Amino acid sequence: MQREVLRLIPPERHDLLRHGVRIELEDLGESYRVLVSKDGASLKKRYADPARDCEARARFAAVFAVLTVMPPELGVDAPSAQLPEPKPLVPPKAVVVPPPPPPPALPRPPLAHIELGALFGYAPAIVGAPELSAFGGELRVALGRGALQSTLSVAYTSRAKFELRGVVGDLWQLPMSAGLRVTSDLGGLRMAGDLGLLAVVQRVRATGLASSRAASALELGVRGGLSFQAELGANIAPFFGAFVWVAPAPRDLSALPQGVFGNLPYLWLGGSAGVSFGL
Amino acid sequence: MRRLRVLRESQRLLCSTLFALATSACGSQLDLGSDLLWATDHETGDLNGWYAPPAGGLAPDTSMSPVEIAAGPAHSGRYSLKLTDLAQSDSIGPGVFRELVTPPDAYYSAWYFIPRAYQTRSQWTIMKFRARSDANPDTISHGHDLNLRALPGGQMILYVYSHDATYLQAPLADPPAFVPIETWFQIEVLYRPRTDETGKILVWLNDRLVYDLEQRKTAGSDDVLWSPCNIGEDVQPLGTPIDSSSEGGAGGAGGASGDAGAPSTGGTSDRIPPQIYVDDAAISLKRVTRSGRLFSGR
Repeated sequence: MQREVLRLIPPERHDLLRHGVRIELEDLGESYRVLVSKDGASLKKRYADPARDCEARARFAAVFAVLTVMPPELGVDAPSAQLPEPKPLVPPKAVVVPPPPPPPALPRPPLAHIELGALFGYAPAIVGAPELSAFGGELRVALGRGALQSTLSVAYTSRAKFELRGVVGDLWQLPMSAGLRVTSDLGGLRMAGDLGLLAVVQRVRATGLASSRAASALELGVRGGLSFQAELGANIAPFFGAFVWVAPAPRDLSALPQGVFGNLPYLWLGGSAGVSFGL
Repeated sequence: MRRLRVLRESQRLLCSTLFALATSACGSQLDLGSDLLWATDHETGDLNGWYAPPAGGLAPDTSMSPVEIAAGPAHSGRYSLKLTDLAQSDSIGPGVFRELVTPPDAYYSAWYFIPRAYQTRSQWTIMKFRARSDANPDTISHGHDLNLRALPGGQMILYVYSHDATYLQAPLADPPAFVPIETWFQIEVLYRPRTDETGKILVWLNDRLVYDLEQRKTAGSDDVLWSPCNIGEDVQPLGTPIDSSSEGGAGGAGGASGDAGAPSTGGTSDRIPPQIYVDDAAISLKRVTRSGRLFSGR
């Protein structure tokens, strides 16, 4: 510590330390205390240092001691210091210290995020619904800068084949949703929870009947989702997530002569992955 | 704040629109088509259903027995087909038919109503599967018949008879295939027409499989003539004495009385011609069953 103190004081002022200046450094475990005494007065300061870095403690203590013995406002001309007769000094050069630059403004988060992803959905055979699986794509727009955002989405799923009580057919879907999103930072990821109203345009067709027909329907339900984003660049973030579509009152399917042989799915479970672009 | 309000208004409008669209279609089923090859419920009030293409109509009947649409009893709706057997012969009688050329395996279904209990001393045929000869299209060969026969206690049972001497009458179902009186019952037959021994006939009575006849010759050609009919020689209301002199011929039987609505039988005027009603007939690639529907929205 002594070395550090001497390094901080110009050599011609080292004699300041000879006039009753005492510097103590006390180890308190994860902290330490610096005590500077001069002319019967003392000043002490305590610092936290869980790392117990002796070198750093010495540097901090030295700075504290020098600032105490040689406060900048007093400089070497402090009256308490018994200094030699002052020499005529050349007026110090005015030093203009520029004001510190303003902190850089934080970039505003994008107002809109456009998410483009691929999805996979699976509908279990529940009650009269067939088992289905489909791939597709989804476009989702999230609006808002805060933790609460609104979302709009449209998706398309490929043809999903089914067999239900002897009737073979397939199903296309165009799910759309509008809802709210709550976001939260989770480590290096941003987590988003979605909940919204779901409207699914569905086109279903039998393929194995003597005379087959296609029919369309609009089903209403609820969409929930959970996704995770990882910021890669300024406005690009890959994401992955899971979703659930629930249609509580799906439409019945009928054919002759069977009559009603089942219904459209109550539930779709799935996952999606893609990229989010901030605008 | 204003943006949030606009957003909420937009969402409210979207919800209302979707809800209206969904509720407007509520209750409607998605009709995906049909496995029916043909069907009639007689609700047009005429026989046009039986005459529909490709081929069908009245079965040949030299006795000119009436085949008419009756306003009740009906299995569904208001009308049914009423067959009154004036011929009282074991080979001719009233009937209708549908003809299919090289049909796939199909289910032939019809609902029957027997308005009263009858006694029989010969077969009473209510459904026939026949075939048109390839060599001579004017020749129609007999194939398999579905017949009724009364038991001494008045019960009526259903059995299968083949005109092929190799098979003749199939063993009776066990338990017996009783048909109800004054109650509609459904007979459905899976018929695989084959000229070799790969044919098949399965018979359901009110959804109970009562005959399973496989690995047999079922047809004389690739044609199928399916014919609900009413053909029986000695079929009289239960309790009516049957004159033994009528056996083997169309001679009169005395003592008949009662059915005031029965038409005159001409030379056999003492007999009361048996009647049966047929409704909701269909040919389908899938089982029709008792709960099956023949027409959308009916």
